Amino acid sequence: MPSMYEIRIHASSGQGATACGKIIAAAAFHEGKYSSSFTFDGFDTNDGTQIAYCRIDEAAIKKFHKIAKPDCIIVLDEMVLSLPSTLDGLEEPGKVIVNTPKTRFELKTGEKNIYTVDASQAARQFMQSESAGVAMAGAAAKVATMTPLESIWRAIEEVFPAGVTAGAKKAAEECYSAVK
Amino acid sequence: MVLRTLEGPDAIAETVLKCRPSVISGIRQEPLLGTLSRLEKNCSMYSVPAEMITYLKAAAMKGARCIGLMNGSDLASCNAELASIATNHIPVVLLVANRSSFFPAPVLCDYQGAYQVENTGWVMLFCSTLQELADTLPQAFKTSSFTSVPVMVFIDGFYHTHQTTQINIAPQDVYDKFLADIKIRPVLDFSSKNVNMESATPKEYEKRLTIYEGALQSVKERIIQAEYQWNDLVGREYGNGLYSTYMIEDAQSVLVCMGSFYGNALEAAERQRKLGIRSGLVRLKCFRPFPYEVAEILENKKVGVMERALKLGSRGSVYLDLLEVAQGGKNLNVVAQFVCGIGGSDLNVKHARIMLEKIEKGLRTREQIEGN
Repeated sequence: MPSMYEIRIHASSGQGATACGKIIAAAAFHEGKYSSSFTFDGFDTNDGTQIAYCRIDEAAIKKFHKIAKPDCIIVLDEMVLSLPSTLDGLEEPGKVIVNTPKTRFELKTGEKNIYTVDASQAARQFMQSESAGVAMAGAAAKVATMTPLESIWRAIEEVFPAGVTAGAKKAAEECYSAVK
Repeated sequence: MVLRTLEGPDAIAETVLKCRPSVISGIRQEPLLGTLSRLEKNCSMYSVPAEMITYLKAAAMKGARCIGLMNGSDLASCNAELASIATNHIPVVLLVANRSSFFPAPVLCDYQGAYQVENTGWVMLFCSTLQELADTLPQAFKTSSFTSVPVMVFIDGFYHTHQTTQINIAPQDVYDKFLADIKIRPVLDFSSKNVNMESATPKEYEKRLTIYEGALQSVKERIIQAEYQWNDLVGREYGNGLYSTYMIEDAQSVLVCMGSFYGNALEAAERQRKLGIRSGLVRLKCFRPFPYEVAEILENKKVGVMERALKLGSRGSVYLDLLEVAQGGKNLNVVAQFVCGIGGSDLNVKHARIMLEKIEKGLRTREQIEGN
């Protein structure tokens, strides 16, 4: 992992891009790292998409700006993948994690390090929600940030109210084991 | 004191509540929507900014510890009320999330709103991180109540308000200890004949404004004092409370900036130093009253100013203030003025590096740098 790990999360509005960033950031902190997650859209953008950003580093993070060259891109909606700006700035060996029922070979994006997981299904099954962001944080923990599942669980407990944490944890666990 | 991962709204709300204000009011709009949702039980909500300011003014006149939360774009619409609060020596604290203000405005961060109210007589403090906000807000209450001068604390909309990061908010007893000696003197006294809102003769008016200008200049000492007192309690330092610096002693070229952009500028300056270029930084925390003391550390250096607001029909405020110092006998070489990040366009480390390089070359320039 490079000294600073940068993640960009693309989603349609309401799919949990911000929550995904928050959980990844909080989980990284439990691993003894500094993190910063942010979004610039407190509202719907013109094309209905939302982008969240997350930085993880060994040292305190000073910079505040959008991430142009991420080490990992998380796509919460397969439709967003077709937008030209989604994979902008991704360089080798950058990773892409897509929320889709398809396999990596069926996606045909041309990216080498692409991983898929059906996080929407996990969110529906365990959280009765269409918001796949939380479940996707589980997949990101395994593929991108190399965070143990326990840290993701702790982060979920911090970010979410007590009533929904059990389902969210299960959804994250499901994605942690299913991503490939 | 423990480092915790906190969402921006949670951190801001917790800090506000730890200062134990007796009156909190806010305008529920982005970028403070999340914060005000968390403060809902303790806060009176308004939809008209001037109405909220008037309410705060009345409460503070009766001796309440008041704080208002609003966004930068609403500031200009209560300009007259803000000036009235200041010149009547009413200690109110405003927490303002910077947001672009001219129509049609994106709701993202620039300092246009702050620049519109710069001469209302308020103390204006710009925070560069969420952590700094948690440490500055109690100082703002203390400064405000000790000097009877109102204080605005600015954070950057979305950069700070929508960020989740590690913050160390001091325990309640530290806040209580720090704020124990503040007492707000009620200005409104129906028993006396001293009516503050009476219209004045030109002479009285001039005298009043002159007295206020003197009070505003003397606030700087209190700001420094509050900064050092808080620093003693929590062990975190942000320069002297008026400005902070990076590698300024041996620097040949210096970029002067404010707010969250300082983080990017720090990274850029560190990279320049690794390349052997002697770059330095000054971050103005206190924008009004302008810390003219900064001229001493900028002497014999090439200085560039970055401003996140376009002053229509004029030059940038910080730039003009530094020029004034330069003409006042100090050997200050103010070479460049950069106007950038307008309307919330995103500025990164690369932009900061471009600015530092141009200052280093000594290019006499005034330019607008486009963000992403």
